[in-house]
Amino acid sequence: MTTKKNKPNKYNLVVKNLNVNYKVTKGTVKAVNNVSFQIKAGEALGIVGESGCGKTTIALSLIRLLPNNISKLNGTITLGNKKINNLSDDIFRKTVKWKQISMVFQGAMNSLNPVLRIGDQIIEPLVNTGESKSIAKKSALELLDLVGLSEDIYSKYPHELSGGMKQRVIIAMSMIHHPGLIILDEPTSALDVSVQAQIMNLLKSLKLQGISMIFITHDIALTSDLCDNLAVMKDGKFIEYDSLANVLTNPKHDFTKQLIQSVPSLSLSIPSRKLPSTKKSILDFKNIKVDFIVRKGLLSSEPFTAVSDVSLKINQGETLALVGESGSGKTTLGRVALNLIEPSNGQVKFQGSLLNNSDDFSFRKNAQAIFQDPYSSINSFMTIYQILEEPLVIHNIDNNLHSEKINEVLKDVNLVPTKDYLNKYPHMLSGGQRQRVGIARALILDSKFIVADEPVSMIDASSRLEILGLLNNLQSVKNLSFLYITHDIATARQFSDRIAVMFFGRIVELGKSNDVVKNPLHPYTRSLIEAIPTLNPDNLSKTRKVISRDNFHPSCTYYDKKLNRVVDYHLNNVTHKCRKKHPKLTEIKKNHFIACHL
Amino acid sequence: MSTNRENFQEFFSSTSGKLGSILLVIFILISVFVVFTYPLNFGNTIWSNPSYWSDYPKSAPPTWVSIFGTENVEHQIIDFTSPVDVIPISNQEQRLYSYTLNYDSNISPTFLSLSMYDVVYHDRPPTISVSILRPDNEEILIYRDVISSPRQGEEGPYVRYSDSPFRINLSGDKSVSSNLIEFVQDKSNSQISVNDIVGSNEKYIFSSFSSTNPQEVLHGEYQILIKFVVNNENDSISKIRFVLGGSSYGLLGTDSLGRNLSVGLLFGFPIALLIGLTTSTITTMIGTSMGIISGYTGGRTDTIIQRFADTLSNIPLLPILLFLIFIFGPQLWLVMTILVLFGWPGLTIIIRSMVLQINSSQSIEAAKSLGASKWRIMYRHIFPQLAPFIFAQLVFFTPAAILAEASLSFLGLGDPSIPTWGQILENGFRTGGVYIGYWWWILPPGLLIVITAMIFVFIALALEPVVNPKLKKM
Amino acid sequence: MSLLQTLIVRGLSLIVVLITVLFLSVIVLGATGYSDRLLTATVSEELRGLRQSLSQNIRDPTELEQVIEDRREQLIEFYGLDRPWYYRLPDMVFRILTLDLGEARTLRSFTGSNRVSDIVLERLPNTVLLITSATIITSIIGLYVGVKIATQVGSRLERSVSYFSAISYALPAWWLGIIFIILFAFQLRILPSSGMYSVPPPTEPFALFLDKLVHAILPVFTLVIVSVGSWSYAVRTMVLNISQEDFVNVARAKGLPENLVMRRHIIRVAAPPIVTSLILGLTGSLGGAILTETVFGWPGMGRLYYEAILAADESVIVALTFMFTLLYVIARFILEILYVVLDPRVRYK
Repeated sequence: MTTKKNKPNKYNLVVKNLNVNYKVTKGTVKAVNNVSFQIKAGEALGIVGESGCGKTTIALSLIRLLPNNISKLNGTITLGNKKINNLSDDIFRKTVKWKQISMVFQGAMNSLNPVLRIGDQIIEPLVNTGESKSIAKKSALELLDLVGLSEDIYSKYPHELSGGMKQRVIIAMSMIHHPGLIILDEPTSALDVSVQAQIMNLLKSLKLQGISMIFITHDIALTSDLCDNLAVMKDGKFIEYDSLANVLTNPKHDFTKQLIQSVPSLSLSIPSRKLPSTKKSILDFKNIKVDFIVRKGLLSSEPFTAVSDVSLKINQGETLALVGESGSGKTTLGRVALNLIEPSNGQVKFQGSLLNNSDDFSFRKNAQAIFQDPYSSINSFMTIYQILEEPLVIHNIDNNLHSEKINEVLKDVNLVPTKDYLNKYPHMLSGGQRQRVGIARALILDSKFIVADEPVSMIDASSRLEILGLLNNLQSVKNLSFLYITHDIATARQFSDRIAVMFFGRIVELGKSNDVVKNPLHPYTRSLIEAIPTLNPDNLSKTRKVISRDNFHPSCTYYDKKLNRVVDYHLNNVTHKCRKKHPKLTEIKKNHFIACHL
Repeated sequence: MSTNRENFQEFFSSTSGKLGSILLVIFILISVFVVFTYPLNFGNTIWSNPSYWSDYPKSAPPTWVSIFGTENVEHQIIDFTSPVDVIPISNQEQRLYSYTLNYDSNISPTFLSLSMYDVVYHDRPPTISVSILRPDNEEILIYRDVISSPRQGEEGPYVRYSDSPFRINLSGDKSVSSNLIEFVQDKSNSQISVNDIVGSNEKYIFSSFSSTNPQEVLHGEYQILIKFVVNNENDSISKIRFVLGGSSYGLLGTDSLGRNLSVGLLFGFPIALLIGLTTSTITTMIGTSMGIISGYTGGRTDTIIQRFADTLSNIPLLPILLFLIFIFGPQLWLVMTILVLFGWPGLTIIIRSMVLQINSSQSIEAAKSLGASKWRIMYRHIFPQLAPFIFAQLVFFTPAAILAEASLSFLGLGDPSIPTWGQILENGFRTGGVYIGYWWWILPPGLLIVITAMIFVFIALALEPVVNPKLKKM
Repeated sequence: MSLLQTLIVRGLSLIVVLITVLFLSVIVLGATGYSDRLLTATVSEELRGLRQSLSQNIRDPTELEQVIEDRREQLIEFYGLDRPWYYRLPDMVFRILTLDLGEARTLRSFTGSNRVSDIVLERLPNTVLLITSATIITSIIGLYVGVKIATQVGSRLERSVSYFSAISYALPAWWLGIIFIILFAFQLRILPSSGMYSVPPPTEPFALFLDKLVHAILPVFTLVIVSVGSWSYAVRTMVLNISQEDFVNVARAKGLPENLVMRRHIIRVAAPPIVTSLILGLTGSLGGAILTETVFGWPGMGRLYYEAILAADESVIVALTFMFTLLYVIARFILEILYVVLDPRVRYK
């Protein structure tokens, strides 16, 4: 093994008739039902399915980490020319685990031991097999370099790293024994799209070295970046298993078709929505700056700027999408719009009058919010009737009108017949239904302005479009104005009139939705669009050109700390102004603004 | 989230939930019984009043120990209210009271006593005499006395012993010994002096005077004869009580003062529940409201409450409790106040951290953007999410309060006007009950404390699965 | 925040606790007139000594009285007895801090001294000995049993321990101690019922040590029994919580042997909360020592507290209250240090 140290072992994996049953309180669950597949050396198999379909169970049975409540486990697993399902646990642990098959688990945040240094965790399996610590460290440093991390990460603790860096560490860790097969279980979930794209790039490069992969995901769009073959899983079975191109171009099963359709397509042309004729603004941000005080111990504290110098108008009857990744300040700006936090600087005008805390109450009646999480945003101790009545009680609406208004608004959000819902508690409803209740609550006071913060990101893919359609509909019927906050520029395009892209607390690009998506002017917007996973078999040979926030200098959006230079993947004429001064938002084309020195 | 009904089912499906609830109901029923039957000032007028307990055997084990073969004398209280015979003698009247008892125990009574209640006379004081007719037909006059004469200037009718009865301990009375001495000398053929027999008169009265075993008791029928001689037929005595002290008493025995332990222990039920529930309820209320206010309002209020709570919760409870009680005197309400004072901070710190989590949840954000006032948010949106946890805390804190009071009492800092289990136990311990072997004085109060605490632990245990999944979800 | 800063902040807040307790007791003493009495007693004590020594030299009684009277006034002014109690607060706090609380009313140290500091300090090692040995035994057993039952959830052993821990929460150590005395000292007659040494104590050092050991068995055993159940259960819960974390699964997937996974990826991670609850338990049993020592006649500070209450010896009580708080605060501070050392997340935050 020492001789071919940096080359992965190559072999085929053949799984035949794998069955796994779980024992639960009410009988048994067939988690994996007669599944067979094979992976040739250097190939990647994608397994797509919704949560609970059994895809993780396949992974766990390959690496023998199934929980204790297994009532049935059979089938043959052959690695190279060796049957590994018959090996004793001890031999399996010593010869197969991590050495031939390793795994990258879901949830980068929790996959690292919080009290051990990164380096020690990477080299642990190697040291455990008798390798000396210094040699192990050498190969660990090589791996860190391979996954794009610097050497100083070696002696850091997990909490000092960002999510993307942790995921890179975990990938490096999975390769310490140079296994032939890596199982990747949702390796990019909970990561921002840019980071996700970078991790996918990394995986792609590893695959080119000849490592076989099993890529497990709920997001079919990601598979075209990595996989040669694709299996779609539902209720423990492979309902579709073929080469990626075949599945994408000729899906046999309805469920597969549905999955493929749910991927937002940027290439699709949708008609530009008509901008509302009135230029009257309903909400007007002027030079908004929001600082948070981050306490660093008892005596010292440090301000953290979440939003800086944002000026933005939302016109009456329009939907403005605020697009950005986590930490971009989009949610903070949304909270400013709702007058939930006071900006440290600047002013907000609502319907022409200045917002301050004193007329809070009348403002509340006119501006409402729809929240991301349908499970925590409505009080689970109240019935639907009580939830919808609360705004009426707070705003002293005549008691006799309550019942009528509640019925009306339930009809508006398609929860009919209304009497079926009035006395239910939220836990009796599905996620989509709960979100409709949340929307109804925002509508019941006849508010004209609604802030919708990721209203569909926690809802099943199937009902997402319905909810967005409902919002669209309500907007035109009731002439509402929306501030639509999202990380997903693709749905933003479908649902909004204009898009504002936020990055590090600033708006870097603003324009009509189609213009921004079709013809992005700002490098960050381009990177964001580039990062969006799309379904295309050609992706396999393509590297997504994205810029990562991890490497950015906070004072300049394009300054790459790691490379210590200003970079841009699209434009070559970079000026040094970028390092010194923040660019102003300027109109480049008609109604299309960017903030860039270039 | 599950509904209330499911929660109830889950709670009662566990053994500990069932056991705890059943025991709690029993304890509450006993407490209700005590509250309605005991006088309010039970502690001062009865429990701590030695004369109330003078006719009880001292340090007597429960009667049921005889099951295990221990020799036993039944405790007998004989009340004479109406004479069996009235014999006029010249211008006097002799009222004769009599009682026959069959004595078959192998040990003599532990003591003998006589009490007179409510004597009223008009001319000259009446006389009383007590004699015992033994199975061997020996009649011994053991006691003879004249009711105290009128004081100077006192007008008739003369009332005696109406406030408290006149009681004479026949076992330790020297005049009784003098009355007995001739009989004893005669029977035992030895020159015993009065001083030799005083204090154990009862042994001689019931002795068989066997030469082989001087301790042997004469079995058979004994007749107690009391003559009450009056000079005026209107003179009266309401009751004469003759007590044969037993070697065991009641269900739970007596302490060294003769106090019936079962009476004292019964009184402990409502007190224990009162201490536990009141303290924990107030503590939980303060802890919860402080925690919610601190967590929700934040800022300076938060800092002040947290600093305060942090300091208080870091103070070792028992030494401070002892110190304060020692200085301010042992009063139950003070003990409870201090327990509350030092009990709320712990809860406040936990509640606050939970509120901070809830704060960032979208339901609070939603309520805020609806324009709900901060009190409404705290009451309608935050409190319900915490309620199951708070209830479990209340249950869990109850035994802590009960045990704290018991510990204080055990260290001799109990409120003397309110007898508690801890105090009874302390009396037993301080009297040396552990070393002498007064187990009936030590074990039951301790056991009751443990069982009471256990009830709440069981309930808390059964509540845990009901409360916990919600906690995890937050 | 650096390691040092964290510790300084925690140390400061614990000193606040100590000062609070000091002021609380001093205010209580002052407001209730106890401190007046305390100081007056000290003054008369000093005067008595003075009178004795002076009576050798000064023959004239009126002159003697005059000298003593002058001295009395000096002392009253010195102790501030001529002013209201709150002027003496700082002085009083300082006196408690240095245990300079004069003489006990009736209590004496084993060597016969009646100085409060002698009496209290003499008892300190006995208490520390009792508590630390009980804590060490409890933690070793609890750790072992807790880890063991965490790997077999639902087993009979696991359920027994959980019931035992619930029961021991309701079991006061002092009552259990009494039961043990009745059982082991009077029924079975295998262990001494109270005290730290036999009467008379053996003279040979090793025999003396054995004697002490035999006397310590019951009190230590009692302390262990009341806390070991809940502690095992707490360890179990913490270990279980950690073992459900993803990184434990990762460690298993890495092919590490199970004992290494347990040691490095579960126990090591659970160590900070485990140490926390251990020291919290220790500080809890510090107060409990008052009761346990009372029951077993163990000549420590706890037993002294009981004796002081019986004898109504207030200066001893004040001194003990302070000493208990001090020990408590020290234990808490050790906890903070350990926590910081064990958990890198606290260290660098």
